[in-house]
Amino acid sequence: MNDQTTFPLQKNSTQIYITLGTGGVGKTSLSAALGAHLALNNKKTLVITIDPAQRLKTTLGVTNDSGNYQVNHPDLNGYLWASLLNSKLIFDNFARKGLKNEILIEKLLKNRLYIQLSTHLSGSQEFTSLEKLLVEYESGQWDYIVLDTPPSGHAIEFLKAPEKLNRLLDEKIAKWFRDPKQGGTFFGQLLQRGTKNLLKALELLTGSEFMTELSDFFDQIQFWQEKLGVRLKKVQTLLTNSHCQFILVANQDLAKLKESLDLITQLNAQNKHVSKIIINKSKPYLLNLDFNSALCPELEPFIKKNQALYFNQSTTTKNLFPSSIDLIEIPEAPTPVSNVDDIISLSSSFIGGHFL
Amino acid sequence: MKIHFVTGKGGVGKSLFSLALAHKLSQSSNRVILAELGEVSFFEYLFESTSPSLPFKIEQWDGHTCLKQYVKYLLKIEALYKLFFENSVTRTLVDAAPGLKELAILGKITSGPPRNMGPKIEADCLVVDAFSSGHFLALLQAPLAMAQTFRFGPMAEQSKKIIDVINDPGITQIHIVTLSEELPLTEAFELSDNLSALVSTPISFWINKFEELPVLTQACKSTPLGGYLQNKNSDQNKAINKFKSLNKNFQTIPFIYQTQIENLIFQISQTIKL
Repeated sequence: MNDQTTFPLQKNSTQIYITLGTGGVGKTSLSAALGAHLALNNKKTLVITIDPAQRLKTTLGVTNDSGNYQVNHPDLNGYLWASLLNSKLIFDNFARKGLKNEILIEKLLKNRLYIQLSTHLSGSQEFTSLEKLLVEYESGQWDYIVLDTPPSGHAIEFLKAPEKLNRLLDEKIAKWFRDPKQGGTFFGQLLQRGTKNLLKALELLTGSEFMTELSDFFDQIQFWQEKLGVRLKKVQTLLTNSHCQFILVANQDLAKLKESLDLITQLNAQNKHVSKIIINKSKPYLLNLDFNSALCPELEPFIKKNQALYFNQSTTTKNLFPSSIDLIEIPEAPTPVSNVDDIISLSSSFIGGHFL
Repeated sequence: MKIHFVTGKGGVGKSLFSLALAHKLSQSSNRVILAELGEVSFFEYLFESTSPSLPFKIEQWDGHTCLKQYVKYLLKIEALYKLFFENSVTRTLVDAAPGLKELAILGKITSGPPRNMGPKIEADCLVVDAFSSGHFLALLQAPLAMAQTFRFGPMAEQSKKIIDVINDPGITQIHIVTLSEELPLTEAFELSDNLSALVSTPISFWINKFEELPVLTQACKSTPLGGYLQNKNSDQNKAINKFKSLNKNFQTIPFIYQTQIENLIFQISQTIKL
């Protein structure tokens, strides 16, 4: 596969927002709120999410089957849709489409390496969410798509995943592990390549049972690896398209802010577009409430302490980012998001943020 | 060698707690290592280029490096090791075989006595700032899955020994950090149930950012701010009562108004009772 090759995408006017951020910053609620903001402005919007809290799942009315569900609320006029990704299901369907032969499909679905690969580890969630994004983009039926990225230790892992998967599917490498019907056995090939020692080392470390599974795995995926490769290339094209904007989500945690700053540099280096950073829970909710020093004199030191901390953090944040980046601060809500009304109320924070 | 795993929902303050725990443990042992798991370092962002004066060492352990060290230890011959690692095939193998990196990480963590397998770690006490809930569970599942899937061979054998070390309450301890809010709390209990089904390691809970709120007068209670603080207080009490009713081992960690990081670590460590 040639990295220089571009894969043209069919043109349409769909705009994409991808939210990136470390776990625990409220990315999923904010993605839903951004979707609500767009829908309230009569834009047909799809929010693609993965692994939301059970309550948000119920709120959005989605089930775990990767289908698109309309979010019911009179204010939304049917413009907001949500989809909950089922990574395993998408991966299996992809494998089915590529293989067509029932026996081969069954064999692959039972392969222990495939099972591990298609469940939550090793970037398959990242791939399936991008595959879903591509399918929905190509459908041309949306004004906006908001993709809430899968939870990972660090946001950058999301961007590395397609590349990792691509490397795995590299024909040259796959051939190594494959046991082709023609051209000799796996062992024979290795001997031909003069890599007897490598095989020995692999066996010593993993045991021969593991090597057999591995060989089977690569044997079976060869039928769909080209197709998968093309999809991955198309995804890469889509991600650098000017229709696609990355939004970083962080909170006042200094380490997370610095990480976001680094992420902006990395995204720019990859020709990806990032112009906005959302600081969630930028201001503690209690500072939004009126402090009555006559009625609550006992709270004075407590409030002062909180104000000082907030002022300190907020100044640091503002000085950290270049002026080319829109900084959108969203103050802490009194209670966690638990229904569509909460999402709609949270969406007011996006007004004036130039998301439309 | 003692092993302390620190986990919990993303954003609850695992890394800061790990630093404080390592600080606390340094009082009784002068060879403590705080190992941060993963490919991107949080502590690097936290301390930037400054080298903090802490009584313990901080190291970053990722799957590829752990596997590399283990292979080097096992193969002993430098040339063979180079052949093994300096090619794209092995890199792909490591990426393609999920569980292998996790196994390498756990292998390194449990490499001390009684297993005595792998390069020697210069520590008596290891604090592992581990992954958040789901990924942590996957980490501990790796050796079990390996041992069940591949019954024979060195990988299966090592997997079983790793599980034994993790199950040994005299060696290993799991700390789940949470907040008193509903979401992280629910996740903490779920994680604890899932872990208990997997391993017999003792689990302790830490309710982070716990705040002793000022006692309010009747007049203040009727203001919106007073009402909000009362609710917050009642949430915190509910969290405590839940831990008590479930008979779980827990402690609270106070919210500390301090932005100087070394002071913050020290102050938190002072509140930890072991």
